Amino acid sequence: MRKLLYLSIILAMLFLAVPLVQAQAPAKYETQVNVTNVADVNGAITLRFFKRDGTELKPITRPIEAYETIYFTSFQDISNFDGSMVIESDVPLASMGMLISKNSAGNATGYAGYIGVPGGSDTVYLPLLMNSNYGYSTFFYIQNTTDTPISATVTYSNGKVTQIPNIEPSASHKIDNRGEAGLPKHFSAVVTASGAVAVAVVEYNDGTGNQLYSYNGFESGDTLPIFPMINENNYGYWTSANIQNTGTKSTTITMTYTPTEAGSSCTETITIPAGEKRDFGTYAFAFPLDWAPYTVASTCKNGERFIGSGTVTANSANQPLVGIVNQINETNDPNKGAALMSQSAALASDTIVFPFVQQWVGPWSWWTSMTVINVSGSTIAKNDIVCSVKCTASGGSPVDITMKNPEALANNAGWLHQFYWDRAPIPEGFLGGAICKSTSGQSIVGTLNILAHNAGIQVDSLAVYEGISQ
Amino acid sequence: MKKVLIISLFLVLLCVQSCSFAQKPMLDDEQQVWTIPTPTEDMAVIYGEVHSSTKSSVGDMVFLSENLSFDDQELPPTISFSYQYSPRAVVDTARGYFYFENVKPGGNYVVTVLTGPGNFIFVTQDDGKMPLTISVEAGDSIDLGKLIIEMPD
Repeated sequence: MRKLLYLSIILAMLFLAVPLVQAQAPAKYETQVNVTNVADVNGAITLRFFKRDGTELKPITRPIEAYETIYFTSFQDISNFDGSMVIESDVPLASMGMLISKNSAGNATGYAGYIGVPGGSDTVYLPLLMNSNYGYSTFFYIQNTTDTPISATVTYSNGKVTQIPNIEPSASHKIDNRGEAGLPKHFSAVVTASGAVAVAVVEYNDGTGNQLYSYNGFESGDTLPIFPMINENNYGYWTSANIQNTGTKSTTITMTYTPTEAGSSCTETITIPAGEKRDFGTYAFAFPLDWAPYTVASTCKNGERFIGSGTVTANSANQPLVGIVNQINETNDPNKGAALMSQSAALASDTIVFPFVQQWVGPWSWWTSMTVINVSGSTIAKNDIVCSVKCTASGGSPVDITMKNPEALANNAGWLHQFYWDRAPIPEGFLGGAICKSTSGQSIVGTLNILAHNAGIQVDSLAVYEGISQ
Repeated sequence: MKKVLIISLFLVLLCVQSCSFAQKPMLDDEQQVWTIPTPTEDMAVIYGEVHSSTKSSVGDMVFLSENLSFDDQELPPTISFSYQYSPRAVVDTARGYFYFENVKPGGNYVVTVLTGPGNFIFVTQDDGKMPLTISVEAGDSIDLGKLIIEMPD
């Protein structure tokens, strides 16, 4: 059984520098992808190349060993290839793509991470899109993941509809919301198609900032979604959790916030009309409650430093929900931003793969922080979650270290580990991946933050991605 | 034709550079010895110096990746490297010396510097665009000489 992996931005942009029209926006984007064989057996991966007209070129097949992580990249400036690539394998893969914006001098200005998706769906939900919203706009790629041409429809939350009559197999269609007529500043959307599609969204700043964010469209909602990383009033960071009601009835949502490192537990309650979105976290923690354009009930301490997670614990009409968490810093360390997708306990497993982990590497001192959340419904015992962290440190010296959760985790509580500087047990210069497993088989989810300590304030070095359930 | 050209360029580079550096311990101001390992019978060693043309240092994220589409003109150049199995260089970051040891024989290696997540610099040919593809055989000890790359500021 061959398995396909789609990274829609990668597929559309891996081989192209994509110039934008506006001078303030990034001059171009580049992408890279890494894949991890999450099976304990060796396998093979095949890179399939498709021209824009759907013609397939000669594929490349490469072996991949058990738990091996491989980077792929290409040369944007010297290739005449204009098309897409599909990664196919005979072993299960986890993947994380990295989108990099660059200025006209070719220097990186922003980073955004996102994970690959294994298939696609004929309905995809996009919880947060923007049209020059305080300098932020979005563009997204709709990729046909079938073997036949399809059509697609984008229905925005304000009622605007955009028809796309044809998308060739494995090809993508791009929509840029910036300046698009008939759209408000921020909104959500639903993509429906005549066949399966994968959708990847990029949020970019075309004002003075360099923030770059990306996320995948959701194939389905969850009545009680989980947001593993909420980061408020933390050295300038604040978090906006936009939740989209993908159902047919208005519903009143209560989000329960649980600290992992700072702050206190609290709740926030907002009613979301059918098909619309509302912003959690922003007015409960970071901005005055009375600035909210709708009613927000909150027990949170406005202005309090909070590092933890959020979980929807009440959903009055049991409507399906999806959400995007934007982490933003515009003060202490400006130009930092990244987006995370909400997660579902129903889709969680006992194993999470983090294909990319690093600790204090390179001249910019890149580091990462990992959050693992217990979503099992019961307490996970101390040392039950075992993370196997493997690869190399400086000088190519091999690293093969296991880490365990140092404390018992109540339901919805999290374990945060920072792969920072000389913090044990991982050595400086580590570059690799991690696989975390609950040895008692309980459900966990996770996220990973990526940041460069010495990137400077002009570079959005913050990127995040969701741990991949296996 | 592409393969012949690249290998020819490489051989020229090898001839010009290798005599001056091959296998000799090099000393810096602090008299630190930099020793290039001897290749095993079935593996190769690749070594040289890598410096940045900008104010930013190269760092120690130097890998030996592979050009998977080396022999196919129609495909875009596609580079891969593995965290676990691609050689990662031992680097003297102060002096720019580096070496890869235990390199498997092969014909499509590319020296790659990782400057950040997903941000790569590939050592290129003189045109500054096409990757410099390196061929090695078992027992080889190959000196790449002094490589200059443009690290992002």
